[in-house]
Amino acid sequence: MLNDKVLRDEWVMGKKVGSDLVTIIDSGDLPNHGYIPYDDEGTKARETKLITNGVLTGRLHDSNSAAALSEELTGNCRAQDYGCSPVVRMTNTYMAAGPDSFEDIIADTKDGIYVYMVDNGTGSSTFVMNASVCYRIRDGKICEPVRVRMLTGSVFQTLFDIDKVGTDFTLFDTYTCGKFGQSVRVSAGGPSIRVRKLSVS
Amino acid sequence: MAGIKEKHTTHRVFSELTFEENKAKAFARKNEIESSYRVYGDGKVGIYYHCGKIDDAEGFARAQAVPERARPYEFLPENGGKRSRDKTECSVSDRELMDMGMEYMQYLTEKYPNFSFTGGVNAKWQCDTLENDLGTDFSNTDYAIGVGFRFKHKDSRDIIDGGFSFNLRKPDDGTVFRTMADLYLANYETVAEIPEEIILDMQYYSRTGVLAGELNAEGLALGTSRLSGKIGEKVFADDFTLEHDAGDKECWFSRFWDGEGSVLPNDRLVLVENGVIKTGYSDKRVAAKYNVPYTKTASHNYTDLTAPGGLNLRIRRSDKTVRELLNGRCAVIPMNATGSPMDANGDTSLIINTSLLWDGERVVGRLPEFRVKANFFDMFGKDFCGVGSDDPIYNDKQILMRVHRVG
Repeated sequence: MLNDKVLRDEWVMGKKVGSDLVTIIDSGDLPNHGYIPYDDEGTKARETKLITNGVLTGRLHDSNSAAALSEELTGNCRAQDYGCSPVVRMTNTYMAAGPDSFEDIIADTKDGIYVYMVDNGTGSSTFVMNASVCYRIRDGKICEPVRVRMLTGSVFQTLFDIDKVGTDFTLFDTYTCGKFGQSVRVSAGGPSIRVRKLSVS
Repeated sequence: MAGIKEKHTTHRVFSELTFEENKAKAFARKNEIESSYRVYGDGKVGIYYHCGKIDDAEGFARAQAVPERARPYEFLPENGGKRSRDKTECSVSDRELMDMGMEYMQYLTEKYPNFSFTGGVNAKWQCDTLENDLGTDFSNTDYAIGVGFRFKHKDSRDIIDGGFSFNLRKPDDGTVFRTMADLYLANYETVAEIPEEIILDMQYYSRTGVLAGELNAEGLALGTSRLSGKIGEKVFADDFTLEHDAGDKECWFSRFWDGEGSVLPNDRLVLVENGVIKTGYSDKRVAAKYNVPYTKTASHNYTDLTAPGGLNLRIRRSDKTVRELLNGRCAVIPMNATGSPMDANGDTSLIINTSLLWDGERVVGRLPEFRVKANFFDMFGKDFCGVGSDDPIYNDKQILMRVHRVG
């Protein structure tokens, strides 16, 4: 996005990009699957608040992008191995826990789908999650299993459609992130959340 | 543990010029050697993997150094004799590669200023060998120039909107690159209508990957494949024939031997013939364990035992060109798409974020985002339209198949 006006305007610091409940953090300093003491340019890993209460407050950087945008180094320049050029990558990325208990989120949902397990997904402006285990929620109760192949939504809209964020928190340590043909170990996770609307097929 | 010694090696020399947002970013050069030393005996194999140069005596000693780490393996290596294959047609210098990349980027930025480009050009030389005490002495050498660019339109809110890539065994005068760039970009800004009948036109590797998953002899034997119990049955279209072709001239960097050193008669194994499932594919362990045909198709694993795999799957081409197969209809070229895993019935969904509509010769325009569904049995059955005799737009083989719009 360094030379791209549309993306720079879209992701300008201080812009409201999600609901007040949304805080998203990347930290290479956590002792999880995406832990890196230093990135592959020698920058010490740190915590970066990407979105704070729905407002864009940070970006992941290598030294080139940090200098180009006059922002601080974040320690996110990572290579798969010695044979690959490092690129800007996530480490342990998660949504911060919120005020609602899981039980209250379910009890407050009249009609919905509980996505219990996701196999994989991809992210562009329309993101995709391939769910493997889902249940129907009726009148505040988790009911029968339901077959859902794919959940999709617009990243620009869905962050605003999050209206409940749980107190529970899980960081999954089995993920890899693929970019430009390179895979690196990462963790991702967060609390249970409720999204008012997603496309389901 | 004294026994039969076997060594697998891969020597790779790789040069690459990369671009980021229209600017040259880096030139990288790698020269890598990987070796797998294996010592067979007493129903076991000791394995040592090494990256870099190492003396053979030390490599074999390390393969035997920790007997308790030897893997159970009740089979003998092969005596395949001596055979060498060299598919290289040229070699370009780093200077020539750099000039080629700069020329390509200049073409893109001058002709298509509304886009930014990331990607690059590379050249790879690779030599794989297999030698053992029983007299096997195999080698395969190949060389290819790779070109790949991802693009983003200046008005797009996505990071990447599409891309194109191709390999060549020797450089041309730039015609392949310019033709491909023009097809993808010249009419990208024209928004076309989604046709009623949707025919996907794709390089077929993702589809043959699905077939490989279903034809693994272990999955077939265990009943976990959608094709379990269907050997000998007509399952797919009359004109659908699938084979593993270790001798295919079009395949890049493939070996003619499998991971256990076995070589197929005529380098080929027919898996599906005219829609009839002929066999699954196996390595020695799976063939013995499940009492199924041994098909000499083991994966190449330098650090552990093999598994069924190492396939170079080819769908038999039609006599007709892509344009002739389309017969006046248009096809969809997906550029940014994500599919769901198949369910037990073989049903799957696909969201196509960005795609082009084309008639087999000319791109009509870009399509808006849409969703389709498909079924494993239908995509190679009633929805299979064929694999063209020519290689337009991808400079490679491509499968045409109908899918069904949802939503």
